Amino acid sequence: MKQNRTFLFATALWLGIGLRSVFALTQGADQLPISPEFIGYIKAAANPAKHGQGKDGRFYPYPTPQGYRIGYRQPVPDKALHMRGWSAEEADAALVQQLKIVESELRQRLLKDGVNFDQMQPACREILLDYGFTEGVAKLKPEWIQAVTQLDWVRILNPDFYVRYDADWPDSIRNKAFFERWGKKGKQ
Amino acid sequence: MSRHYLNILAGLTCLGATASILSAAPISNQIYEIQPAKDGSLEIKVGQEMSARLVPSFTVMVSGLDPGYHRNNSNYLLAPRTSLRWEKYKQPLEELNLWLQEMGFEVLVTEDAKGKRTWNYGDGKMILTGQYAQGTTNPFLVGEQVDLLPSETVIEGRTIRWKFTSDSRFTFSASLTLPEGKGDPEISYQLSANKAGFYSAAFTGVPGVKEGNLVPQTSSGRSGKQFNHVVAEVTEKLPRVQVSDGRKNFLLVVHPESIPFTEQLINFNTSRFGTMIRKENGVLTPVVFAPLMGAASSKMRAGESRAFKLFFVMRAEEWQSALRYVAEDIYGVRDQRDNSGSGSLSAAIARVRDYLADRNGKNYAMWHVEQKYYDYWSDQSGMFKPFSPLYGLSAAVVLDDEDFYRQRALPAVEFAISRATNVFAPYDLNDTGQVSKPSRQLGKPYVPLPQLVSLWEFYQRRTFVFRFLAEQVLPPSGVMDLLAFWKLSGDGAQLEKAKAAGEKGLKSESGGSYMDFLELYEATGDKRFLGAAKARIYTQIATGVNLFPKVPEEEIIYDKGDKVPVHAHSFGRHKAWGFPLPEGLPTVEQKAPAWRCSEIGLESFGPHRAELWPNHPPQILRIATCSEDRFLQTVARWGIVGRYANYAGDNRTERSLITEKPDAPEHPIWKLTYSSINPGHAWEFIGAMLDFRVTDCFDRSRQQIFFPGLTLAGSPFRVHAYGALPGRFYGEENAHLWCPPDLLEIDNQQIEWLAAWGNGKLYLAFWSQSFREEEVTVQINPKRATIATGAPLLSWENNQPRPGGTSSGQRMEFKIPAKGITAFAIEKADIKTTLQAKMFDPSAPKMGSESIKTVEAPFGKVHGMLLSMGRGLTNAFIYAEALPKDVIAARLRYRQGNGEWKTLQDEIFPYEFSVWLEDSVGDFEAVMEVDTKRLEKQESPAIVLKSE
Repeated sequence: MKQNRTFLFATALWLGIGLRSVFALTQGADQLPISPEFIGYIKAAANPAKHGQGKDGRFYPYPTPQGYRIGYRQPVPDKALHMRGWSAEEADAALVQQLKIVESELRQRLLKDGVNFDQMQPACREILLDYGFTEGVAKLKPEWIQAVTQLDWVRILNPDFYVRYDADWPDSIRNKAFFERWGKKGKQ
Repeated sequence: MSRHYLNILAGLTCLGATASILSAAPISNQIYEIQPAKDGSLEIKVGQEMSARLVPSFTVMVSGLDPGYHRNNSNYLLAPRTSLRWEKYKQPLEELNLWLQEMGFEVLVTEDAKGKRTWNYGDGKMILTGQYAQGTTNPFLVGEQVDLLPSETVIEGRTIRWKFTSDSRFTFSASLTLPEGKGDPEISYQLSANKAGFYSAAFTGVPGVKEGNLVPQTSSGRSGKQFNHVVAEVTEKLPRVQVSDGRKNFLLVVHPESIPFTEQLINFNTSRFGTMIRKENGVLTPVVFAPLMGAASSKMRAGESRAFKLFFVMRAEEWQSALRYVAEDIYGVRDQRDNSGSGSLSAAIARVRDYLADRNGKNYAMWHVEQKYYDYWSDQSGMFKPFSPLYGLSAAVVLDDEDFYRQRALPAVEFAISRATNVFAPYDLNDTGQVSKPSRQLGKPYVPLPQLVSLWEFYQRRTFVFRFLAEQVLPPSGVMDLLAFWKLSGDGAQLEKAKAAGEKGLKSESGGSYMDFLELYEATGDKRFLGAAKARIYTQIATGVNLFPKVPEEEIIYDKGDKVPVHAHSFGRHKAWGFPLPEGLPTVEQKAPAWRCSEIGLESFGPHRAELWPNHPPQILRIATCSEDRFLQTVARWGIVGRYANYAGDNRTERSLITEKPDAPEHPIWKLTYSSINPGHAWEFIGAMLDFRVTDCFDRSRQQIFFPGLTLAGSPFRVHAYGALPGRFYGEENAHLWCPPDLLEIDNQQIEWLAAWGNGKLYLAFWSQSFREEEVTVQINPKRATIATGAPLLSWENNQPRPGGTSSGQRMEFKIPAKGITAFAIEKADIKTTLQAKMFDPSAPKMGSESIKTVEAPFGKVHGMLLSMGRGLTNAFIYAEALPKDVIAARLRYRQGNGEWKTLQDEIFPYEFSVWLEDSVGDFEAVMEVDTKRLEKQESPAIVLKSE
């Protein structure tokens, strides 16, 4: 699934959605049903240490268990980025672009079950986008989506449910960010 | 002279008025004679050998405020890290610097306008500020010091009672009783608070020794040269403080009744006493504080009381004998453990193997194929920190598990010979601060010379690369290097050099590793080295192994509420890992004997009372066997017998039977809240467990079942690694250790077993951990060994040969005496080995000097080598030293013989390839091509590797 997302994202660029277009899309970031604050959360959960950021402030690919990643732990769409990197704006734009792709996939998936993504509670949208971004929309199990849709916090905040893995071990950065963001909900 | 001694002299002078009461007849028992003196002190004699003067002097410390209480930690040049520091009190600066100077410390303490202190230990050493520069480690500064001498002394039979003048804040009384028989004088005191506050008390009247001999103990600090600090109960190994001048030993020993076994392990806050060696004017005096100022028991409400008892012990013998006396005679340490809780170690080893091998497909041990090892989860995820490949390699061979060799042991070997460090960080890390100096350097092995030679032996001296790498490390440095070089070269002169190096270490009783001396003894048979190993293992035990609290003869309830108590470590870690508050793992509440969860025999070297690392018990047992030391045998057995059904983590802070659960680690990591779990440490555990199993059989057979172990010198968790070399079985040589878990089933968990093959026979040894005779039924798996009914066999019971008999076939029934051993050598056994068949096949290919090659490529060095464990087990291992900052992907084009060219790709650093080869098909040829960061393609010269 990660390969498919890579392909989609890379294709988007290869089909001529150049930097200018990417910038245009980023100007539509606030049109995503998510807040800039949520994007900040995604960034902090992906790469708080700013791995790959050089002294020039640009983001270059860095080694991870999944291979090289760039920016906010995204697949490297073009090997040329090893030399030229991304500016901070390009990294942000690529993140938003990928989130838009995920959002589109989620809409289609939920629509099949008669669920309107726009009418979901913000928390539902955010969690679905979050996991769609990292795990791939196709890999989200129906019962998992249902628990999120219902905001069943008891289930959602059980580590059996929310723990994500970085290769063969839990991804502490993402898990901590997720639990700190939503953990209080379970006590309400 | 200190205020303390002036007070004693003044007080004793005042006691002169009651001389008439004190001129009484001496109180005696079979060991001691106590004569009250006119000045109120007590003259104590032990035979004609020893006499000393005991003064009824006590000190009570009173603090109106909570003194704050934490470990000394960073100020370790002053006092041990684990000693205590009280933050709310401090010594005036000038006094402190004067005292430090008197004590020989080269340090200057300064203070700024805000009262913040800086400790400057000099250029190149340490400059300390912050928390550990504040406060004091001197317990006599924590509050107001009230020195007490009795105002009245009364003798009642065998008891001398002392009364003291009341203080408005507290009431104090004390006594000394000499029991009948051989008992030591018991000093009792009671402290009652009249006013709420924090209180501590100490008996300060023990005689001292002038500049005494080093006695290894927790309170003696670094190299036995740090004094005047306090060690809390949680850190203590045996509640005694001992000073010695080489002839006389004076000990204060906490009475077991004052520190009873508790359902929960003692921790920092619940510590009930502290120990100290006081040094004043060159005189060393033992002191025990109880209550311990700052700990929970020191906080007293008005009307509350604390009572405490100590033994004063005088012994004229070496310090080890005194240690044994306290452990065995006072604390009742004796062999109590059996397998009734956990089942056999033999079965546990199989489960640890399954966990490491991920036999259930859940990968709870976090093996990472790409990096050839387990994630270093607990301390720094994304990093890889093996301690040696030999633990797992030994397991693969002894358990005859080819899949384990291919999937785990071989990758770990490849890691070991290619990564220059065992703190390897291939990925950009989110730094937890738990690991220093991770590295990405490649190009040479992280294992030292002795382990390279062990690898060479494991590969049956057929894989040249290990010899080659070992020779790169030469010349040898130190005893273990010299021994390794001797094994590598066969040159007897190297053994002589090793002996000479060892002999230098014999000149003192301390210094040098006990393991070095043990291995030197094993190589030479020279009993002087065994003696040196034994002396040092006693030091290891005295400073590292728990020998208390006394185990009650009762059952206690474990895992109340059907949950395993949560390990203290889990709270902080769960928060760091993004998990909710830890909850106890579901289990079953049980009542079981107290010994099952006693921490006796376990180490404690950090903040945790019970460390579960089992690397020392096998060595303690081996030294015990060779030197016939039953105390050491007891301590060794406490460390491991009947404890583990699987790997159960590194340490614990709570009592639980979780370590006895067969599936203890087989859960997602967020459920493993009962211990500090670094899953990859099961790798070291399996090696240590195997070592104990083999050594236990060695001990039980009175050394007649012996398998030589190879060294893991250089690894901090050092054990012997077995399987490479044949051993002997009751006089029959060339027996190959062979313990596949599916070889047999035993219906009795008290029984350990070990098997070997050789000389056309199957050798089986069964020994019992039970204290009573046991009946045993063994079913041998025909897929592993077919035993003909009526085949001749030899047998031994408790090491005595029995008349020759015949086999009953696949099923065996017999009895084993209590703690006994029964063994068999069965002829005409059709033995089906798997990995071992290939490993010991005489037709296995040999790798010579043409099997290793390093080429210079435009992108750096590329190393190629052939590793051959045996017939059909040869692989080529090729890796580049290039780093991810320079190279982003690599491809290996290769072929064997005239086969077709194939290509493998690697896009994750390190850029390495492991390719299985076929025997006798021809040379291995390869070229590595890389994509650089500049998107250039670069190619290495061809690498051709040949077997002989």
